[in-house]
Amino acid sequence: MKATYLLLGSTSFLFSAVLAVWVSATLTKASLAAPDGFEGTFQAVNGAWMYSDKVGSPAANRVERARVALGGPLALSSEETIYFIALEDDDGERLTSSCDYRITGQAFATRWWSLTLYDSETQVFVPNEINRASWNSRALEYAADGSWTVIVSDEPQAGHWLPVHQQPDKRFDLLLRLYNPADETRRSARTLTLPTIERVQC
Amino acid sequence: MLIRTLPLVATATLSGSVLGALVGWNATLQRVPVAVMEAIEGRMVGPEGDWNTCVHERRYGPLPRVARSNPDSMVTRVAYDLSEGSLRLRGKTWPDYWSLSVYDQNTNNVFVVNDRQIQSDSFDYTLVRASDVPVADGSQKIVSPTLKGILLIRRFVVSEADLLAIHANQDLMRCEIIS
Repeated sequence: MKATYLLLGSTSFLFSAVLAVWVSATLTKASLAAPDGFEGTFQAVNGAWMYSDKVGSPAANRVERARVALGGPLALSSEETIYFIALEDDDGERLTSSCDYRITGQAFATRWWSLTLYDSETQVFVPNEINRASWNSRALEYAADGSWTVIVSDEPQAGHWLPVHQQPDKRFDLLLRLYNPADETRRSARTLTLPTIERVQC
Repeated sequence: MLIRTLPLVATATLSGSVLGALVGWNATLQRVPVAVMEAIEGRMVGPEGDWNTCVHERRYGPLPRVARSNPDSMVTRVAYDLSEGSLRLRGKTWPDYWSLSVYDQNTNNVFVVNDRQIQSDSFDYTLVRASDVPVADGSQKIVSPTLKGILLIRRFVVSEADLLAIHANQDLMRCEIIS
């Protein structure tokens, strides 16, 4: 009888441990699913863009901190820089190298800003012949109405071109950084008018 | 008797699983940022173990550094270990944009200052492990919540024409461990 109880206890313990490890791993994977794991930490604000004031902040919870650590470590706190990330276009379709996009916006009330394209899988730059992954506020040329346009495509484009992969179906994301934003810009980060991301062709 | 204990065993097994899963999940989430910092620090210090050494990025543009790094900045980086003493950094700021930021071992950006907030074109900061650690006259104290971490200095590069001046600015920097 004692041996039976011992066997039952051991089996129960072993089953419990295996189940705990499996559930823990599943929870972790679901919490940190990269690259789109930013959703949940970054919240939809305007158009296709997401924003978080928890980047680099001690106020971030464990899930938020872990997601940012994996997806963009060593980011500055929102006191210094505010970050917006876009994973989709304005129609809610995932950004991929199979399509061309037109990104249009206005200058921001900030010291300087930049728009950078990253491979969502590797989380670094997409290698390309012109060695370009970003456009910043000082490098862009503006139209008479103060607007600017950047074209994302796998083929060379006139004007401000951001190259993506030559292979189709490669997912990418866009990161908009605003350095030393004006107080009003920082206060209204959740309601700022942000660039449009229009899918031109696929 | 055995039959009567089975529900109890099943309940205990399930409770143990849930509790274990939550503890494991929590521990993993807590460990992730530290593991990321350790990985970055490991790359920064290299096989020689060059902690507390200022490493200047000399190139500009898209470089495979850490995830989603900014190609419009040139960075000076230090993986610090304050168990050896305090880390003093001196130099000149950069007019187009300069910032000094400190990240504790949990990835928190615990300190940041930019060139506009400094009343001079020079800077002098000492990173210490506790608020009661003395620093040299004229040096501003930064307290790190953890013994190890990463310090970054970012300079905005407007164009490649800035490179020589930025290299000169980097070369003016002095980084020293003070025991």
